[in-house]
Amino acid sequence: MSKVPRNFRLLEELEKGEKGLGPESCSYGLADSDDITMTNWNGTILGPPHSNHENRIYSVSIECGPNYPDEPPKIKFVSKVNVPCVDSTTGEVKSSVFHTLRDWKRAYTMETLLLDLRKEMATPANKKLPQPKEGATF
Amino acid sequence: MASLPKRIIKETERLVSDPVPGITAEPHEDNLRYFQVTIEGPQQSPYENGVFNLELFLPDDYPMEAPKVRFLTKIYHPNIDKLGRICLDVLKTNWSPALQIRTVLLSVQALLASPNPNDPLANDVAEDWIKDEEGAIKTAREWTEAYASKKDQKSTN
Amino acid sequence: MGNAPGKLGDGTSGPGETGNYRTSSGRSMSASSAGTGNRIPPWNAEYNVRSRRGASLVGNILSTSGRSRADSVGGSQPSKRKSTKEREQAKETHAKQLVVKFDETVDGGFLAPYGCYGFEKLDYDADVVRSLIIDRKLAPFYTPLQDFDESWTKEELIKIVDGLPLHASFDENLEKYEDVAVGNLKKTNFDELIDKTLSKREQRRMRSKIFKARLYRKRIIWQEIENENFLEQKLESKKPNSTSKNNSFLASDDLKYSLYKNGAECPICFLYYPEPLNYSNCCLQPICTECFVQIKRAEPHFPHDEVDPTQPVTNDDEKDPNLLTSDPPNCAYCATPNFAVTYEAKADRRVGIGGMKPSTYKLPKEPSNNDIEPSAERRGSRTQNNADVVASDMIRPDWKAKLDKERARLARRSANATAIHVSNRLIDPDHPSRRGSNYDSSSNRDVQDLEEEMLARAIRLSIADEEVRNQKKSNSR
Repeated sequence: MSKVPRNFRLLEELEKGEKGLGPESCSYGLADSDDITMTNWNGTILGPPHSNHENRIYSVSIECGPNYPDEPPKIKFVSKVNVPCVDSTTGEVKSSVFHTLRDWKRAYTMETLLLDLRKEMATPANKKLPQPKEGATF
Repeated sequence: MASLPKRIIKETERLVSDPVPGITAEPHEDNLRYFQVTIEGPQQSPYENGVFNLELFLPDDYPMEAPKVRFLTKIYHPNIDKLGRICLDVLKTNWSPALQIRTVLLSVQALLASPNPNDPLANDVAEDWIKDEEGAIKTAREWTEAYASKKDQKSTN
Repeated sequence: MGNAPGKLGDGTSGPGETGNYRTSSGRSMSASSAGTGNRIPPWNAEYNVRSRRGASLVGNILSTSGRSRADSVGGSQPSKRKSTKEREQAKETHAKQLVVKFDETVDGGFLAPYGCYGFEKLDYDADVVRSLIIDRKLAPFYTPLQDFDESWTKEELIKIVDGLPLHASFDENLEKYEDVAVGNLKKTNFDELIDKTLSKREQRRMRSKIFKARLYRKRIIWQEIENENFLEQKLESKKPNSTSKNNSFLASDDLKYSLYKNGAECPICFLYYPEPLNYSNCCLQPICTECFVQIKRAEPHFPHDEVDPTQPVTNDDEKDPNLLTSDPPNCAYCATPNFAVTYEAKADRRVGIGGMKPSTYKLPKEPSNNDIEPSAERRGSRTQNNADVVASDMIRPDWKAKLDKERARLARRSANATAIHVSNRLIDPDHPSRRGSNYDSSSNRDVQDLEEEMLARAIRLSIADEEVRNQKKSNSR
């Protein structure tokens, strides 16, 4: 099977995000719609139900480097959140801890990443963790 | 299926042996379905004297699916958006498997010669084009000069 | 899969002496010859009575490879909903029909494609295509040559054709099935592979993924069994004292030469096939059957209008689902609507199903005259009988059902979207749709989540209603 090159892969993801074809629990789009390199992205995660995140919307920023998707993107929470895989001072998702980043596969997308983060927020160990005031940012 | 289809091999060979004037297309060494493309702006168009870089990818279903093509050089054109995406019928609904890399790139070149603001991708550019065609053509010339001038290409290469 | 002259083991007679012929996967070919035993030989002694007999044998062959033809006609109707098991069964039957079998041969070609296109793209109606090939209304699926060189001698050409595999090599490790456990392929039930802790919907998804991965693997195995079989038969036939009757399926050297010496390149896949190919009905351009079966209607879509850039674009969600259209494909060469082809089999090369044994074919005495005439005829006055024209829609009769399904899906989706938008605006001032984010309702949405949320919103809505009413009451007092 052929490998879709970075830029065309990102265009596919952009289109999916723009048309709202993805799941409703997350969204993502280019941070700068003029950026021909398509490096910086904004994402949101809708807090999972039956957890302390319910009804909250978390903003994240995603950086897809030149070697994406062979290498995982960098992802950082903008909204304050209390989850073990997120650095409590910078908001960065720790790639050594978070399995989707650690065991990254080329077939994964930004959507995979956002949905997996949402699942992580909803695990029995994490869903009742005390959360910062809604609207606080890193 | 596992290896590169004969069609792609033959097309690539023919692009080298029988090049199209004003157009180059070379596959990347590590991905033979991924091409680095340049197109010269057509004469008597606002893109004249410009050399535009593009990228082209042949998806798995090629030739049943159209190649994917995008401008890498900034260009002011009603059918090309800020990210270099191209609104061109043969790349979408009017694709035919009898078309080739060569014919697609010629169509892109033809699109530079005849912009169609009534079927736009870049809405703001198309609006300018309809309201003030002369002004839009002037801007297109300036952008060509600024981002696609041949001298620049040479010095960066 | 180049065209290097292939070799057929220790063939002491014949041109293919030195041998490294491999199965498509490169596996050793010592294994099973199972499957040959119970095969129905399409031409035993009394089977030289042409077409009528042929038809019943065709029926036999078709039914041994799965469902009967009557079944399949019923199956393509959009009638009742099928269970998961039934759908899986139908897919498996379809996949079996895509296996190239050397003893299902028509005029030196086959009833299933060589494999230039991916397995998942072979979604045409296999029953229809097989019948069209047997009826000589569509060229058989020939094994292509990657290249052709005019300077090859007859011996060289035969050697190359001898080395051709039945099917292109497979990509055994598809990225998308990379980490899908397929379990024991011999067992029909794979329920134990599904993670029961997942939600119902995720279980369904997992099941579908595992099923696809298993079917992909199974199909490779089925084809390999055929490949090995084919190879064994070829080796057997090369033995000087071979008398095996099974060899009657194999092409004679004259047949191989007749097929490939005057071939043509298909303008779409650039591969070299025996003439005649199929020809487009409108502009008489050649197309191989493997490419022809790939050409189909575009997915249902809304008509593409020229838009006024000064007006906002209408979202697809807001359009009338009944406006969704799908048109028959255009000719790949001249864009004439409703792509259709014709095929004129060579009358003096009628071998295989409904013809003579491929192993007994001899070149006609003066082949050159015969070769030129048909194409001259073709270009001249061609009074093509309509019944012989094969249109793209004929090989995918399910297009109407697909269109209706997509319309219904869209109608449901826009109904959902409307309900959600209305309720959001009414009760939830913080809902993203009010803040400009794009949380559009989408088909992928978890139905259970959705229902849950709808219920919750409905309750909140009625509470809000109640409050408003109470307020009105207290105001009016």
